[in-house]
Amino acid sequence: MALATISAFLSLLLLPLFPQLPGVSHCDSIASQALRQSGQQAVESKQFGGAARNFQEAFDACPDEHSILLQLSEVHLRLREFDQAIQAARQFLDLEPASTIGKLALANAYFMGQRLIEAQRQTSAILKSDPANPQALKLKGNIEYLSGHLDQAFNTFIALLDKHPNDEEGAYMLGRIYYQEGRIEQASGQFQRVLRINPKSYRAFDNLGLCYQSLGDSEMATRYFLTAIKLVENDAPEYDWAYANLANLLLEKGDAEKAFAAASKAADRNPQSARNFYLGGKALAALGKNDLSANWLERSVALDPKYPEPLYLLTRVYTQLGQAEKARVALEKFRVVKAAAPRERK
Amino acid sequence: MGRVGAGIALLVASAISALVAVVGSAQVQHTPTPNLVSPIRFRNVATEAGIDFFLENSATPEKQLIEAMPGGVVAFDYDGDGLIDIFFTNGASLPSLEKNDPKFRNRLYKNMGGMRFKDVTAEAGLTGIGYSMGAAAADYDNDGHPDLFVTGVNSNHLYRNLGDGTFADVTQKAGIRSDVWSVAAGWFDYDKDGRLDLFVVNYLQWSPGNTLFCGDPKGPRAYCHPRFFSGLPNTLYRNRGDGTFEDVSVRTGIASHIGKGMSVAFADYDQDGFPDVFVTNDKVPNFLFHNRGNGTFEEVGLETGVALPDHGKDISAMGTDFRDYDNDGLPDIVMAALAGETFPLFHNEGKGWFRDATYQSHLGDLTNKRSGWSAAFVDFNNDGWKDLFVSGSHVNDTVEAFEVTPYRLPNAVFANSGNGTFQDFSSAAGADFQTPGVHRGAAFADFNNDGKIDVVVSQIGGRAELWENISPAAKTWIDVKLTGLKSNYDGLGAHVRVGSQSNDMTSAVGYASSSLVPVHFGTGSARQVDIEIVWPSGIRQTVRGVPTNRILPVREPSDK
Repeated sequence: MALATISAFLSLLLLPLFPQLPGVSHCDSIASQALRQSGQQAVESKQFGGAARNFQEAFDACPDEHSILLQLSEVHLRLREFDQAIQAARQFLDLEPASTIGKLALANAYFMGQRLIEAQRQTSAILKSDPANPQALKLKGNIEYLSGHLDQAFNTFIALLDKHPNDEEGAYMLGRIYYQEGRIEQASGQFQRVLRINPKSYRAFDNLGLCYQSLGDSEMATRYFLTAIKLVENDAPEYDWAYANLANLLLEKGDAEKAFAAASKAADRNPQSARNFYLGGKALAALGKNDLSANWLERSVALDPKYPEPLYLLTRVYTQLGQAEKARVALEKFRVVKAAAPRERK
Repeated sequence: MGRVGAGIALLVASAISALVAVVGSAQVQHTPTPNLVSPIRFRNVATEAGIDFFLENSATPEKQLIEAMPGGVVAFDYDGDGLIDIFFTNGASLPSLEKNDPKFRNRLYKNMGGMRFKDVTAEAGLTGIGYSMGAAAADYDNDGHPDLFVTGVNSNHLYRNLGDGTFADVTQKAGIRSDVWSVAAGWFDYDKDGRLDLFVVNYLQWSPGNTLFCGDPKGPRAYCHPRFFSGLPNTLYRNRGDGTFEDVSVRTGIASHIGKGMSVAFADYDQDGFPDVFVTNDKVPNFLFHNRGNGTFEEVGLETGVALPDHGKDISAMGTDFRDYDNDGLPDIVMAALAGETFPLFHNEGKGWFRDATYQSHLGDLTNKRSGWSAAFVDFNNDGWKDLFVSGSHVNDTVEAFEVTPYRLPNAVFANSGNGTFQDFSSAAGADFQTPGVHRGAAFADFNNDGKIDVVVSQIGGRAELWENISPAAKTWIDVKLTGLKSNYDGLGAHVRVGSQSNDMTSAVGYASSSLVPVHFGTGSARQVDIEIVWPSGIRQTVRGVPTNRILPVREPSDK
């Protein structure tokens, strides 16, 4: 499976796992409360490093406030510091061994760290006592999928949706798995189901766009991407995928100018996305603006040095600019990155 | 934010307003291409013509990978009667790899004229041995009779044309090896000694005992992805001129590169006077072997931008053509691939590198859902611009259980608009052209000498198709039939210009196939043309005021 796919899955699990986190409870330490609040503000402003420090200090100031550890685990996940995330979740479970939320946090941390066997073990333990737990079922399905057990993954998600027919996240995840496996009609069905549950699900519209693109229906794909864009324009300022997906479609249609506009908007929304800068650089290269393309591609490579696509395009752009030495260096980096890149599953 | 960052910020700001137009638009806008291109039409005349060849692949429940890979087609005038004949490769029994039934025979059809063919395989001595894959035709011994090289699974064969309608298997005597799975081959004169050398494209390390399971354990089995097999280096044989060949793969540097080769095409991409070699690879980067002119090659696929499309991902590159599609005088590269990969087009920029023109040419959008095997640039409507033909089919007969893409597909034809873009003319190419099939090899020739290039396509488990070109436009044409003296007899490697057009004499085109035919030019409304030829020997020749609508024989002059 492509790394991007795994990342996409992992990111899905970040938000819904702790929807019912207890708020700031009675804590004797005013300092702990203030630090925890600072941590939450840091999370909101995406300063996860600072948030991790705040939460750690908040817990140190008030070790009775166990739930801080769950917040700490979550920000470590956002920082992709999986070992620390696991450690924080374990520490919480040591203090509250019966907590289902704690078990879920640990299972999720294992999953995010791609320690699938341990994640599976934790999830099974949760489901033994709570067989219908929706979060655990979703984790189980995703673990099965990433482990290559496709049929089991499908069955798990279908069972989840039997028990929780309005579980938007579950339907969305099943749709994503169908999409990844090229079962576009089933994927579309799940994304339509998401829309029945939540008619304003921009992710469902966005993914329906991808489905129609896969089916070769560019017009419908464009409509769905644009619907997603309209929904996120004001309500979800961080969601960049619809813009990036539209940019990719426009590139396929040979409309590099509009593709660049869409990629720019995606990059504006999420300047940490290497893909957004790659798409922008690709559009600029197609427009013959190689100088600018090189800038965008260099930014993409800087954001994710292990992303082969922008590196390769950069070699082509440098060559066209007559920058032979830069092209040579980029090509060498591409060879290394490509050799290390995970292979496609199919 | 430094210089780069500031530049990006500026661009983002300026681009946002442009995006409003995108969001406000309900449809993807295309730059309209005026539909001024002459129609292209075909009809399948295989039955009337007497072409009754069925490509037998011996499909097994074990899904042995070789079953998915035959078979090549050759168009050549084996008996020198001025009518182009057809040769098909065929499979064999599995796991024995023996042609133990007449249905597995390779097949030679003699062109009787009037689009009628006769099976002359047995009398010609071309029934074949083993599980055959591809074939390449050329006159390697410069005796005026085109010979035939047939690739296969551990079974390559060189057939010398004896000039009396029969062929002799001279493989052993010639020193040709048969110990790996070879898919395709091509003839070219890499050292410019006037004798044709042989490039053999090798695919994967495979044996009949392979029992690897791929697919869904509870569902259909599938042919295994090539990544489950080790690749192979290609083989280059130098023609010694005495009927024998020397394996120079190591000495020339060809053997240093392990690939998973599918097809080969030749052209002098950098105009240094020496023919270069392009090899498509399956799910590993393609090779471009630059001929250094000193008897060695350097692999420059990545450096020149033809190893991979601009996205940098491996594709299932299939058959290819290495020819000038935009009449700028430089050979470009096109290849077929599988659904989702497009049929990549690399435009030769003339500076030693290529630009990925797949999407700018509209081929990206037009081919993204297609899967194909043989790709060829041919001017079917004689308007002076080479169109693109691709034989259609996916590789995996159970693909529909796993992906939203069909296995059987019709062939496709994309008309060259003359402005760097293509239009999909497939749906208007004829009712029977829409018939899906398991198409593989293809060869291109004017079988009825009417000035329009026809196509013959092999089909796994089905009857071969003979597509008579019945395009309606009354355009003129000229076919240049070269005969080399100092250069090789066929003139392979010659560069021919007619007006603003250019083309190369090569028999290596498509997937595992070969078209040893005169160099074709559609000349629109021209009544006469001037022709310039640069022979492989370096001799330049100009023929002025040639009336169109004819096959023009041109002999290489004896001096410069």
